[in-house]
Amino acid sequence: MTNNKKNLTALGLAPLNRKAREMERAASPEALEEVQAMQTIAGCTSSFDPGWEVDPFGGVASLCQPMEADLYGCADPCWWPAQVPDTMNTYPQWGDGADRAEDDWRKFDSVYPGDEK
Amino acid sequence: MNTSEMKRLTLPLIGLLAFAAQPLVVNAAVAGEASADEVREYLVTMARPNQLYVIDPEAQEVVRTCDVEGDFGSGTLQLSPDDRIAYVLHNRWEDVVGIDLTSCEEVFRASGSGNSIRAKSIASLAVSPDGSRLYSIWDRVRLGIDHYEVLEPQLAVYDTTAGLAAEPLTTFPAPRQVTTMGAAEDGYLYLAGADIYRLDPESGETEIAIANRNWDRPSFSSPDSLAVWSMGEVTNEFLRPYTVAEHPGEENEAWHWGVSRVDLATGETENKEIVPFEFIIFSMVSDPRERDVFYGVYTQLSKLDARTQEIVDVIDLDHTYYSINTSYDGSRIYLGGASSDIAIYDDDFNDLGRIRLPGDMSTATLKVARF
Repeated sequence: MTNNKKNLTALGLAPLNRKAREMERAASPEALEEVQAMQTIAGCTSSFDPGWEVDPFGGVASLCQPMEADLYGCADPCWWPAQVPDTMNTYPQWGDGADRAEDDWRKFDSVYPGDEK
Repeated sequence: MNTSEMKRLTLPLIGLLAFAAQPLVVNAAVAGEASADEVREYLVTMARPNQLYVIDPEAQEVVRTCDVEGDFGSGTLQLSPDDRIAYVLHNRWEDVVGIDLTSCEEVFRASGSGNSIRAKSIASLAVSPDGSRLYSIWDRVRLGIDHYEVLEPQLAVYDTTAGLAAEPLTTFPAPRQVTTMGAAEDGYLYLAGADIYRLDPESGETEIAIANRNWDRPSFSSPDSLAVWSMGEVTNEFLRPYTVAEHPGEENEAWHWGVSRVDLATGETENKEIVPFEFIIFSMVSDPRERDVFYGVYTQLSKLDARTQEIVDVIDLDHTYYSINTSYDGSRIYLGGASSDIAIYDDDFNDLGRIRLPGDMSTATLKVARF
């Protein structure tokens, strides 16, 4: 089933910031068809994951457990573009010295534009 | 997520030791190693920061650690036909590196990136059955000063003897959204994309081998699938599980696990629902003794029987694992990926032990090699 023909409001999505509002105003349903997804399911700029997850059953019990076991599995392919830095391209050294997330999760820090890459 | 909700498995140590003592030596004739008295079975995987591990599952210990120059990622692995060379997708999904598992020597390296083009491969790696060719699909972007230009994905065909600065022998346009790949004995490549494609690496000609997005099944929804882990070497098959709704939106709506499968020995394809969809599975392999029995892993380990459409067994694991494999005799199940430990179970799901690695395996494949 595809929702490409519906606008974002019809899908229950409300824009929260200026960029999102502009996108909602500018993009007609037809124009959305012109936006071609990149070829990968991952990779930060091509990910459609909104940065939060629910499982296929509508809850959270079926998400990966614990989060630390899943952290690199989701960070490495940019599956979590909102929660962790883009280690694929922009901040590749983010996980240096923290090879085992289960033990090293305290070492993860935020990154900011202009940080040493 | 609440870790306290996790169901931890407890097992008597005595049982663990008893199972660990079972030999994993297989008959040399089976492996085609006439010159050796016996071949042994090993697990092969990658972990952070940049190590390739060769593991003895019987002794439950690492027997070789190979440093692979470059950064981790994705850790997708394929083996040469003699299982002695592991090809790993490495360096943040941009290089393919061949490592001799008997010596840790680097014998092959190729990069899809260069000349202002950044190329990533999303787990698209395959080795021809004769070991002479390595295939990868590169998803490419040209990096301009003020813009990026998305280019056509490219299948690159490499000579595996091309050394450490290998350039492709030839390239062909490839379908978008392809992840895992398998090379069949009929000479074709099978690609997991929106559909399962069959690609002729001599001509680049591509067709749909198994329709998924484009299937004509009016009473079924579109399937949803995840294909990141490239196992299947034990059974010589290319397998992608999917979930699907039958009669979606109707009173008799029913959800299923299904499989799209290519027999890499014959090129025979099949697509079928196998059991009800009751829990998530990230990767699946079939039992080498009975190809319609499947094992799946995620936060549960499950045994699924397509013949009866029944979930035979399912247990909770102490954490999520991504990548599942079995021993060649089917008696043991290996779980890897995600965190930093490899779990071993027997086919009745008795816990045989854990092998801890210094770093997380993340998206790496857990392969089974014999030499």
